[in-house]
Amino acid sequence: MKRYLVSLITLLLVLTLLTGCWSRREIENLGFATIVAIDKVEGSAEEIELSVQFAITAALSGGEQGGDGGGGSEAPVWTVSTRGKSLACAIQEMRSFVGKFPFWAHTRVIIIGEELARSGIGPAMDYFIRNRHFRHSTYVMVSEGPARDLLEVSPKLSLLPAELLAELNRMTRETSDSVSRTLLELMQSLVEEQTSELLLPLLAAHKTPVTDEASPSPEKEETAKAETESLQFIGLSVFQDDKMIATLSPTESQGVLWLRGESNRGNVVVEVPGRGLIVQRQVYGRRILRITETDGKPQAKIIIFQDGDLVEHNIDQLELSPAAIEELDSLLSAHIKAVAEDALRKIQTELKTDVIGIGERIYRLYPRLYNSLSWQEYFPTMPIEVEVKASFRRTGELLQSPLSTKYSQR
Amino acid sequence: MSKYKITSRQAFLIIVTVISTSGLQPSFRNYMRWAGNAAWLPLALSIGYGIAFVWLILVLAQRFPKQSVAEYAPKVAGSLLGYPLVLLLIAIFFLRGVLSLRNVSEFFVAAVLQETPISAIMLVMVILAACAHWADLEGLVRFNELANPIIISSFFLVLMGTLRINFWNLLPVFNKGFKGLLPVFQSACSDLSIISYILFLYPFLADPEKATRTGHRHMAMAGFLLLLIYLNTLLTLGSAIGETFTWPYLVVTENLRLLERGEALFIVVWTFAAFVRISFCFYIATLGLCQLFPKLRVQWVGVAMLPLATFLALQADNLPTAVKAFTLFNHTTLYVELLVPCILLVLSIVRKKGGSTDEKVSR
Repeated sequence: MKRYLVSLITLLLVLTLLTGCWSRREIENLGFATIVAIDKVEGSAEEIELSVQFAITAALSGGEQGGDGGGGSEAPVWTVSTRGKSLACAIQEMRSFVGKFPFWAHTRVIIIGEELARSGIGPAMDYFIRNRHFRHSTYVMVSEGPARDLLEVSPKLSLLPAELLAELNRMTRETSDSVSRTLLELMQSLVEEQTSELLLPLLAAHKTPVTDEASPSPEKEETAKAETESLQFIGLSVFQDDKMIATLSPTESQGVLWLRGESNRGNVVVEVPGRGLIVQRQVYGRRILRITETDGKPQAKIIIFQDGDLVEHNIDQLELSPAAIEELDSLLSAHIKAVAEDALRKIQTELKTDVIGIGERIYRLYPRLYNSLSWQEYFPTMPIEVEVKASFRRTGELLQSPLSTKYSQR
Repeated sequence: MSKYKITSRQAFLIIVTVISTSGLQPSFRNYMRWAGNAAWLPLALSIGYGIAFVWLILVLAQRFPKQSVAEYAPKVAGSLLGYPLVLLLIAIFFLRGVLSLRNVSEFFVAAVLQETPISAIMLVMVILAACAHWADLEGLVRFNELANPIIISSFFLVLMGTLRINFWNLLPVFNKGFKGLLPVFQSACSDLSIISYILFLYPFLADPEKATRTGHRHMAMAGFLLLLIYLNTLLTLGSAIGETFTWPYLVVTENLRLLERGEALFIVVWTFAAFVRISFCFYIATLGLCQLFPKLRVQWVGVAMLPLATFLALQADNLPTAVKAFTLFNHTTLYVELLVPCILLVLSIVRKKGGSTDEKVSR
């Protein structure tokens, strides 16, 4: 009898577990946020503008295009903006008219407006990193101009702009003229004092040239919007602490990435004086950073190892003999060295910001030496030597270009 | 296996599961905050302490082969000292269960059930703990035997899925000086000292002759598992950002590249580990009481004890208070758990109790 009683009580207690869950969110009540953009509100030091791009799931499931469900070339997304003194306030404001509970776990990208980035991103990042729903693997980038404006683009080959941006981030590994950074990496750079300064990809609208010059002036703005066909990374944004201080062009970015050892792929175009161009597709890249101490001051030597395949050239009578390859190797090394040194000069003398990670290396290996220096002051004057060992490994299916030989006489 | 006999392996396997839940506690965050990059050194040293502690309690237990500490302590130390010492151990296990209940519930609230009241999660845990009391020791160890390989595998899966491991995070080693090393050592040793449950379980061992070897092996396993999980966290995050998270290991699991969004699966697995930890702490406290007062029944004492545990677990008003309570508890109980067996061992030697000279009283 006692056993039955105990079983009954246990059963009743377990039944209480079947009544549901406080944290449940029915899927039909969720609004799937795919991109979050934050901007500084003009004329207001306190407020920020939050723009969120929600996926229109009904259009996605039906394979339809068009935010209004009416077809066309628009992406099946709905972009909304609100303002608030904090992100939490802006989100609450958003909930009052969106009609769905914003679901952040599918957010692929966070775009930070340029103006906000220049005024400091630290406070705005707290919500993202504290909120469990945001994935730490979410990509973060800075926009050229307001971030909100970039959400209006309708990509042609991707269903959602978020997919395009995620793909662009992955593509940076193939091009090595920008980088991809996740929320966690951003936080690590912001929190760790001795780490290298933050670099974020710089996003801009990719526009096609205006062809219809006859457009009447009132419609010019609409025409300009229609020109924006896609988005692209146009280099890197450089931060000092949590404030963006400058931008780097794709070539400068390439140089910085070589110096950081983050360049593994991408084309390297080498000019052969008086003869033409050679294009190498990089397939390997590595950096060795050596720190030495002289008179109580650190010195750095960066050795860049790089190799790849010759994929194109327009040089007449170029037979790719071992001697010729050796000559090309030295040209390639000189080119990479020049690009890297240009980038180094800019970050040392103009920006005075260590984005290479030399300070971090000194701190990790020689913490006493690092602490004896005022790193911000020492870095611009620090002797840094760059050495490059680059080479061509393969030449595709040709050892000698038959076409350039034939047509170069014209 | 008879109803009240368990093997040494089953008994010591519990420590591996219990220690594996350290990632669900705020321990790692504390380690990074106190000792920075060097916290793994005292953690590694604590394995040695754990093995020595196992040796100590087994030397004591082997002097009284068929008795639990609740039975021989009053004989060795006298009623005035013996009973309080045992009650102290029981209280430590009970409070350890209380703090684990709170911390694990906080973890689940933060990780998956943000809007669920913490009391609801505690209620579920307490019901499960009550069921564990009814399943008795045999049920608990058998469940642990089943769940342990799955739990351990989950940590190795996380390790394999972590692609962002950065060995530079180990340098500079003493970035926070030497002052923080001792608190980390204390905290880790306190975690490992939970093995003192053997003092209550020793008479249940079917193969006590294997206890020393099995005990040392499993303690080493538990220690290395703790070190592995911690190093995985440190090498992935670095101590600077790791100390800012309440559960750094949760962040590690959220950033697996090979198993995107795999943390949901791991959290389910760790629920088993949390259940074993909480249930076992309460069970040992209950068992100890029943050994002190033989007329009591484990099941009913357990059921009566659990509402009190829930009440106590809810006393901390907020998460920072709960974390502080956990930290303080770990530091103070280490010495108690070390001193009790030491005192009993010294007294038993001085008073020539136990061992070959003592009467062996069977239950």
